[in-house]
Amino acid sequence: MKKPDTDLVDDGEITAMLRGLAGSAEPVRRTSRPPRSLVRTAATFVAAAALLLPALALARWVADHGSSGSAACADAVTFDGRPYVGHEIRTSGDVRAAAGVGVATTVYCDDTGDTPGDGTPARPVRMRGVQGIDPEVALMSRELSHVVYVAVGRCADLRFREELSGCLRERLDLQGRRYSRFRVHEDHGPAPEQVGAPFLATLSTPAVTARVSVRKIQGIAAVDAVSAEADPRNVYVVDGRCYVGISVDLLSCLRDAG
Amino acid sequence: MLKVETDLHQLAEAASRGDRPALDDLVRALQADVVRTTRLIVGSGSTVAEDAAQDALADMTRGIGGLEDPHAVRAWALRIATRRAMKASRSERLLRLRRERHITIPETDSLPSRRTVELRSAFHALKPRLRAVAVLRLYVGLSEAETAAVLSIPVGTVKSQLHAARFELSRALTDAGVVPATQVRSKDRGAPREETRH
Repeated sequence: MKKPDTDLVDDGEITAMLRGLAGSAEPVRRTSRPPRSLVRTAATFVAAAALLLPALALARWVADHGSSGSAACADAVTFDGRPYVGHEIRTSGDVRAAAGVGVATTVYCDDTGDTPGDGTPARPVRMRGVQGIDPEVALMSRELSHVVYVAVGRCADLRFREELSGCLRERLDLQGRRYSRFRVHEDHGPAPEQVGAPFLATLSTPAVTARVSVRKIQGIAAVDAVSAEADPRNVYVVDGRCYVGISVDLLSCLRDAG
Repeated sequence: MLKVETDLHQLAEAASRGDRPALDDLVRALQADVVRTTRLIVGSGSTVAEDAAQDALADMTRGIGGLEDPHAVRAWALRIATRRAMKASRSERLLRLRRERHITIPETDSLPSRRTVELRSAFHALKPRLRAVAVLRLYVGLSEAETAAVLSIPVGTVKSQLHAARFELSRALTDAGVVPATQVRSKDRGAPREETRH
């Protein structure tokens, strides 16, 4: 066995490495810990909320955006606790169904506006994956081959519709976290203000993998979202954040999340 | 440096007498050392480290009345941070095993070399006690005697544990095939030597 060379690492090198890791002078994530006696009670409420919130979030999203989307509210489902909304696929060449993933549930839907209680009741729907796309991002049903169900908030901007497939497959990897692209359009307000020094992330699309420069957004932790240095309106949001928000709400949602 | 130490001493005296604004200033002045020391010992990128840093700052606020020697307030703060970090390291190990750990800490090096990545990995694999000695000596810049006082161990143990840390890091780099050594010239006040290798 080769004896390690203890002169291989000098103290200056260790110091330099530690300086690179030290980070900011403040704790990055500020948490307050409730007394243990409260934790169990809170956990009960959280468990109940976890069952209700995806459906409520989906109902809100459908109420806000259902009429402008390509899918009726009947195409909205919840799967594995996450809300999805159906989008019609006009050019389905590279969007193909994959193996079955389980059963989703449609939400109670009444988009006629007529008699209360006269809507379509919730029902189970067998779902399939989409080839090359994480089921947390998109699904297809066994019933409607022309609809892809997209996690709410993901690629939800209508201007991405024609490039939905590419948007769904685009990923940003930054220090072990995966981010998805959202666009803050000009009519939604000023571009997000960038702060701090740029840092490099890996952007993967169906066509290319590249290193891109991103920056922190004023008031939003980098663990929640960053924006492209070259185009601050391209905001990359970490998976699991702000399901309900689309670009008009996205920044306030992210700031609240912090 | 002397002025800073004097300010800390005065702030500590006032804070220990119940002067709330002085306590706020004291915590603010020591925050960087406490947070970064805790983070480096537990593991950068760990949520446990960030919580431990916050706990250490809270311990300082609560415990200022018991500070015996205001002249040694920095060592006192580092002792609190180190104890919190060592305790948190046990939780951190469990979380790491369950892959529930990471958050993003913006780094100074935007694109670290393979050698640096291997060195970081090896450092995280060290025992918490060895990490603590290395951080206090080589990052914070304490002397061997000061490190020994903070960790409540003999000076000889500081020397042997720092040697053990270097040895483990060297072995990890050798095993990873990362040779020859990168020439790193430290400009940090905490680095006890400056030398390059070929």
